[in-house]
Amino acid sequence: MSELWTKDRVLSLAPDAASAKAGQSQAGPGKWPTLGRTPTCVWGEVSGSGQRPYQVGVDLSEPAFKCSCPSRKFPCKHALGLLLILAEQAAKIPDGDPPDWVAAWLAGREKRSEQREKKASQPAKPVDAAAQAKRVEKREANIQAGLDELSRVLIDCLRQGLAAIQSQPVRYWGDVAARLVDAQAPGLARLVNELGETVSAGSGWQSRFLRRVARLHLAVEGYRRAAELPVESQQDLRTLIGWTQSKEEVLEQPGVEGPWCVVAQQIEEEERLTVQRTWLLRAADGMPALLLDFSAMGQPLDASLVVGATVHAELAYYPSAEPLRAVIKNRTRGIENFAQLPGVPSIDQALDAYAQGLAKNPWLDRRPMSLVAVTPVPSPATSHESVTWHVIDGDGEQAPLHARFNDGWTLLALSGGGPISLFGEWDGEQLRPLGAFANGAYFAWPKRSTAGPLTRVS
Amino acid sequence: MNLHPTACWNDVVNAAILGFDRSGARACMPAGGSPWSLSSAAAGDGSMESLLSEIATLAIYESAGRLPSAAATPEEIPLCIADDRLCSRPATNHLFEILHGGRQKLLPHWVAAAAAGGWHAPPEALPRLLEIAIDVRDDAELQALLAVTGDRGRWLAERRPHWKKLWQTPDANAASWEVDSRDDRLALLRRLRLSDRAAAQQLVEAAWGSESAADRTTLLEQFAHGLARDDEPWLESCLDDRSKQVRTTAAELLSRLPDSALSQRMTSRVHASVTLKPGGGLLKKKPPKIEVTLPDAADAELKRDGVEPRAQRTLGEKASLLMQIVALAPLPVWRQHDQREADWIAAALHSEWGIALLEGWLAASRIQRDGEWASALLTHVCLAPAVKDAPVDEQWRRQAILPLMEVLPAEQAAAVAARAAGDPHSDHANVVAMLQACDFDWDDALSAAVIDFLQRATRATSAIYDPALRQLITDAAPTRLAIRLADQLADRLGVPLENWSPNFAAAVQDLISTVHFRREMFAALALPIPSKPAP
Repeated sequence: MSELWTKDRVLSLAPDAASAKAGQSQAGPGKWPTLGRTPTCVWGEVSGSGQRPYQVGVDLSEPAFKCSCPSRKFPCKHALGLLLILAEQAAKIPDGDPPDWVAAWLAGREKRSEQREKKASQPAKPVDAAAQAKRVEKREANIQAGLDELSRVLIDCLRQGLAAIQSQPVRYWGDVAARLVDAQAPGLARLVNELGETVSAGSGWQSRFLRRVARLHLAVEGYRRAAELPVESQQDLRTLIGWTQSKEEVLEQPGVEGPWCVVAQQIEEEERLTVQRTWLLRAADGMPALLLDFSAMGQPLDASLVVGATVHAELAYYPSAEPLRAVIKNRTRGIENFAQLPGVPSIDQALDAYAQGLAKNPWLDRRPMSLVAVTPVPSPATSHESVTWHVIDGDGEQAPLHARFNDGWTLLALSGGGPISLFGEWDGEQLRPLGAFANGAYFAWPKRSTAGPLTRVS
Repeated sequence: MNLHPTACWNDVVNAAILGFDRSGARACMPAGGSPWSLSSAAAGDGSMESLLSEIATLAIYESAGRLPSAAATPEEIPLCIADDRLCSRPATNHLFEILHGGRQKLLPHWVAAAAAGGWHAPPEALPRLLEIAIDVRDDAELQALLAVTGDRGRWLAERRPHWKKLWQTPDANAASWEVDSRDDRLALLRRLRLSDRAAAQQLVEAAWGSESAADRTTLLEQFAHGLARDDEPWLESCLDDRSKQVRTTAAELLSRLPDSALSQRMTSRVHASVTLKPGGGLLKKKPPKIEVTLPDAADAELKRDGVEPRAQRTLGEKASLLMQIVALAPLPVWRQHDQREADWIAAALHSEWGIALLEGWLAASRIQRDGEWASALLTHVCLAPAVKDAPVDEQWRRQAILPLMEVLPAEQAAAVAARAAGDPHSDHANVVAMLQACDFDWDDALSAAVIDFLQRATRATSAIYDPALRQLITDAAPTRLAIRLADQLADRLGVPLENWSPNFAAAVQDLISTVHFRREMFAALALPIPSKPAP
């Protein structure tokens, strides 16, 4: 039985619930005429609906998957089934040398990664600098016009008062956002859409709304006066507005060595786009990194990062006053479970870090927070309806958990009244838990936010 | 002048709600940074833009400056000791698949096996288990469930009143009787019936006058628990109740006491009205004949004994009368001289009074829980080849299977069902009805017969349209089949036949996987205790 490849972990790789179920249906060794493995790789042939059996391989060091079936799910049910056999009935998979098709695939992967490195070291293709400058100039003009309009909208808001906002038609903010898309400022468009969602959302929405209005105004003002700002802040503003930075440019940034603990992975559906947010914390000091992966039209998302495991990689951060978003620059093979959650011992320290981050990049409102020794407590503890949850640290100071977080009793059960480690996102007011380290194991919620149980993943 | 940034921010929000045009207010930051204030004087260049910039700065200043709050009332939560009886990792996986992966109906099985092995569920499963426990009505099931939540479950429930109740055993006294819910009262009554009959009697008699007929009936039905001779006086007095429902219930209970006065009265009535005449003809080959003499209508005495005219609307007045007398007469009455159940049944199948007699015996077998009569009716009526001009039709015969099977002791029921399932000539629907009545774990013999049966039945072209067969595959078989035969099941039904629809094939596949799942589940819970506590 493989310590690393547990059933929960394998199932957590499934792209959706249907795949997880289908994967389990493939997990009978009887369905697999051939099976084999080396310490870093497992393969097999499984009979499917096609004439010839499908060839399935998994490179365990990342993991990476290969299957000759036509499924667009990734990893497909066959790869999941193969891993489940490894997790539950490893003795049924004999050790052996990889057959040609596995060896060829592994060799191909090696070669591709070498090519990537080679390509990275080669100078970029020459571009038509003049034409590009012209495009940039045109976009800048578009954005400026968009910002001017947004500025008028925001000022109107304040003049008329937030009470009047509620009577606006539902599509009002959608229309403002659409015009910002036309003005080539998609980042601001997203913020405006979020602003629209705040209207009348819960008690005290006016305060949250005003904060967002203020933050948008700050972006408009900041962008107009970008030249006066430090280079990193300029970069943050450009990202906020919606300028994208090519991955190649980011990869040229100096690398930051790990190992990194993969502590949370969430999938959010946006309009025609699926976003996978993966949080990493550096094992040594808890330095956070956010890896984003986008997919459109049901394309597979990156499945090579396993929550609860440590990866050995060098990350390159996107330039920012407070670097957070990153990409993997280099990765060495091998993963293992982490034995503790990196983080800070007190809430005070965590809030201090939040304030410092806000000072560097005031536009970022959700930041990672990792507390290594906090106890979850319900309050008021005496009534079972509308319980809200807090965590209390060793100094007796507390931080509220998110109002819509409804799994507090599970955290309390895990803690047994003692301290546990908790990772989550802090939005300035509340902590939304994403994972917990307790009793020697890491627990995480499913990556799709649709309510699922807290599950042990390591 | 408000100096605190949060207070100042709240003022700004309030001003913003009204609109700055209307309120005329201005947030402003005096020179030198904080403190903040809200004043009516225009600051900066007085434009809305500079106002907005100040609001933005204040918003971030306020957010960044937040300090953790000290716990208002440091809730003293005692520590829970570590658990050394946590179930294994595979067992945890099974539990999660049951709770969240669509195998909910296996939960009682997992819980029973874990409780038997003394294993506890992992902490992360406890809230869900406690939530489920709230709705569990069966006491044994609830106790097993609470046992597997272990010390930590108890500890957790202490923190939540809604769960805490689970451990509170209701006081076995009358104090709460007046205020308890109907279910709680009935539970209390049942417990008292077994522990303190006098107290139970007192509660019932005190409540009797003020309860509705329906509630009186329900109270009376609880007398089935621990029914004994000394209940007779009270039950006999209930025969004078003004509600027919109450009288019938009392009469049924009395008929279960063979020495009761009602049983005696019913015995005499049977003797007076029904006789079995030996069969005539050469060599006495003709079946014996039943002769019936009945009073014209139900007299007051009969009514008092729970016998009503036209109680059974499908029967004639006299037949209905006969049926009720038979239903309430102690079954040994038919075993006089050398007559056996089989003789009576054979005669009834050719009698004009057949339907009344068979209905009556069916009811009496059920009420008196008489396995011999149930078995005889099953063999000679329900499962026997149809008799020409028989008083009961196919549908009656099939519908009688379930109540009769339920009277049989589990072992006997299993044997009868195994015989029927193993017989290639059995009617499929009958077999399914019998298996539905076998609401217990099937032994190897029955399981093997069921696998035979499934293999035969699913071969039929019409198999996929047979709702009873489908129900067997999806409901009873997955949870009841012996896990020792899991591989045999897969061997025999693992390959879909051509006549199966994809949906039907999926149901069969699900049956196979569920039985395998149960096998793994029990294996995981049968593991030896780990030498050190599981992490």
